[in-house]
Amino acid sequence: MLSLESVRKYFLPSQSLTGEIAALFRGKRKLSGGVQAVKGVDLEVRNGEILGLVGESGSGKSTLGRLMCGLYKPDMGRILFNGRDLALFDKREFKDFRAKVQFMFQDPASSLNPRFTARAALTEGLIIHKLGSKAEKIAKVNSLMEEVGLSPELAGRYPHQFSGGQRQRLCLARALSLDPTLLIADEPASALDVSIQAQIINLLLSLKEKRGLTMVLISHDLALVCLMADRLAVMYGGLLMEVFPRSLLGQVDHHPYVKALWASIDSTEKSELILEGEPPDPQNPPPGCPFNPRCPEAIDICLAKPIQMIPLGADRFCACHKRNQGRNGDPIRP
Amino acid sequence: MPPNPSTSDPAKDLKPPVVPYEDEKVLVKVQNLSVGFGRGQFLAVKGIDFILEAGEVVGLVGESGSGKSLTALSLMGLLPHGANIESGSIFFKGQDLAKLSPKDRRELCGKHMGMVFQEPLTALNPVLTIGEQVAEIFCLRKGLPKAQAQKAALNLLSQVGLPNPGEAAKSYPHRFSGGMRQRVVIAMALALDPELVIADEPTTALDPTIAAQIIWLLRDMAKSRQAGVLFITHNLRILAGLAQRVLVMYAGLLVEQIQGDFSNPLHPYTRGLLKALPPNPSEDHLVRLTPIPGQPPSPSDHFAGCPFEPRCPEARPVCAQALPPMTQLSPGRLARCHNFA
Repeated sequence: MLSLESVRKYFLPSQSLTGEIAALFRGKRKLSGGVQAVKGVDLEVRNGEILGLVGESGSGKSTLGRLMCGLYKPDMGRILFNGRDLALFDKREFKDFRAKVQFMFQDPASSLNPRFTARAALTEGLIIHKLGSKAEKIAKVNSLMEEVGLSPELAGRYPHQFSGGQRQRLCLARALSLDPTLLIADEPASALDVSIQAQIINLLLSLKEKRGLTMVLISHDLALVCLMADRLAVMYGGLLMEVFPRSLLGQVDHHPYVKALWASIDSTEKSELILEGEPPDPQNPPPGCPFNPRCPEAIDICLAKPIQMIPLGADRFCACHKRNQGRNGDPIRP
Repeated sequence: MPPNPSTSDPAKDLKPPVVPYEDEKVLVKVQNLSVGFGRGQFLAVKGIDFILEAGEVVGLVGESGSGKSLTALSLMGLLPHGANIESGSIFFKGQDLAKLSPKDRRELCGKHMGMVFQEPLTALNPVLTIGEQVAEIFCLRKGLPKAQAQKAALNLLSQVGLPNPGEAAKSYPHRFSGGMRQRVVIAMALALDPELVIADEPTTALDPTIAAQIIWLLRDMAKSRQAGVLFITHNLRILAGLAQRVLVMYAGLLVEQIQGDFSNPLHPYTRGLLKALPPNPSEDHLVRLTPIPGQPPSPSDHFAGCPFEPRCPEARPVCAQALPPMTQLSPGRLARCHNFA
């Protein structure tokens, strides 16, 4: 449905006018301190699947999610939606694309306009896309609210009058208001209490089934992703480390970072797999593989050569020099 | 009743409060503690009792609004403006904290208790270097001269695993990552070898691989100093292998206490909490979780009976009428539920 081809995204430091003038005087025209958040990612989102995008903060997973739905434009590479390049869409096609691909944000409190009632939040998309008459809009709001388990009587309320779980339901209803085919959910449950988290996750799963949605689930919680996703894509330092079907988890010799993530879920014993050190500084990434400073299995080549995604067995792709030794190939699109 | 409080005090130059107390193993004893806002209209903590023994790790679990953080803050004497202790008492090594003068209390809390906060960035002073902040503790509480305090600070920073303590001491908090900041906060909490460490959601703001590091650092540091730890979290699973005892709070009440293995809780709420977590990745795929229906109550809600009754799958008519008592089921195991009353 959606495929990314060596997508890169840079962020330049926000430069104030005075800062720019100062840089001019110092003779530094080049902006320094820029960050490469996504450093060449090839990934495919397949029809009808839940793709879990796992990574820690700063790994580039949220940036990748935003690239997928057109909130950011890639600096390099292409994003294809049903085989067509996003960058070549005209205004109307892009508008259609945005209706088809919806984003659900982590924090429901800050992603809802405090001055919009639930009804206004749910009809805004319908108005922009000129869908339905007034009566149809009202009917749509009611059915959306029922779909996410909110009583339609609450439609006149403002976001602050809802609880955290209800707000996340409202965000979900808003994302579904244009009947998207792809839903990108960025940490949909992590701002919620444990007992409420499970409600939202169950709701997402049943809506996915009912509507035949394709979903990208972005999360740092491997246990949650394993519960929901059909395939997992693990990111670190702006690059994919491993992409594999969920059924292979624990069955194969995983990337060392995946092993460490898995070990961190289960804290009953102090595992040797608990990583030392910290994720890399995005402004100053290590040479070679971004994981090499923390990797227990690092070898010489890891410090020297950038990593590449190589297929390892059925539907599994791994970017690790040690596991890919002796296999060469062009960059692969998993 | 042994008259000598003979718990080992690793900081030799710090005298423990010399007051005889019933059981020398009991470090903290909380009796019928209630914390309220305003003029007691809203009780956020409603009469809780628990003890914490020396060197013991106790987990305090609850959702937001359950009163777990206020319990910790009242132990430290750091209740926010507007919150008051309405009733009950807190004993620290047999000494009633409420009866101390503010100065003595400050002295006691400063030297014998340490706290690790959830958000390490707000717990650190942004305009002081890390070295200054850590050294300040030694200057203030131990009266060390500046040079010696700085040396002690460096030593401490290397103990919590900061890679380059000399360099780190000269940096400001904003230069550090979340995990590094939390290491500094742990260093400060443990600087004076306190007998009690309160950790309020110390890993919630951190990434999973970093969270695992911090939990084990905290555990090892507390163990080597024989400090008791009150570990507050909303995630029951973190406590496996960490806490010897778990206290579960709901709506300001303690609803269950479990000693040892807590994979089989008794209270319907605790069972619900465990079931609501995603299962281990090795288990089933795409199964539905079992959420607890409804929402946690707010402190302004009033209940005639059990506060969990509206959400409880096992509720009976009696549950709405009377609050069940905390019932001892076996040694160290208590539950507040009509099923057991």
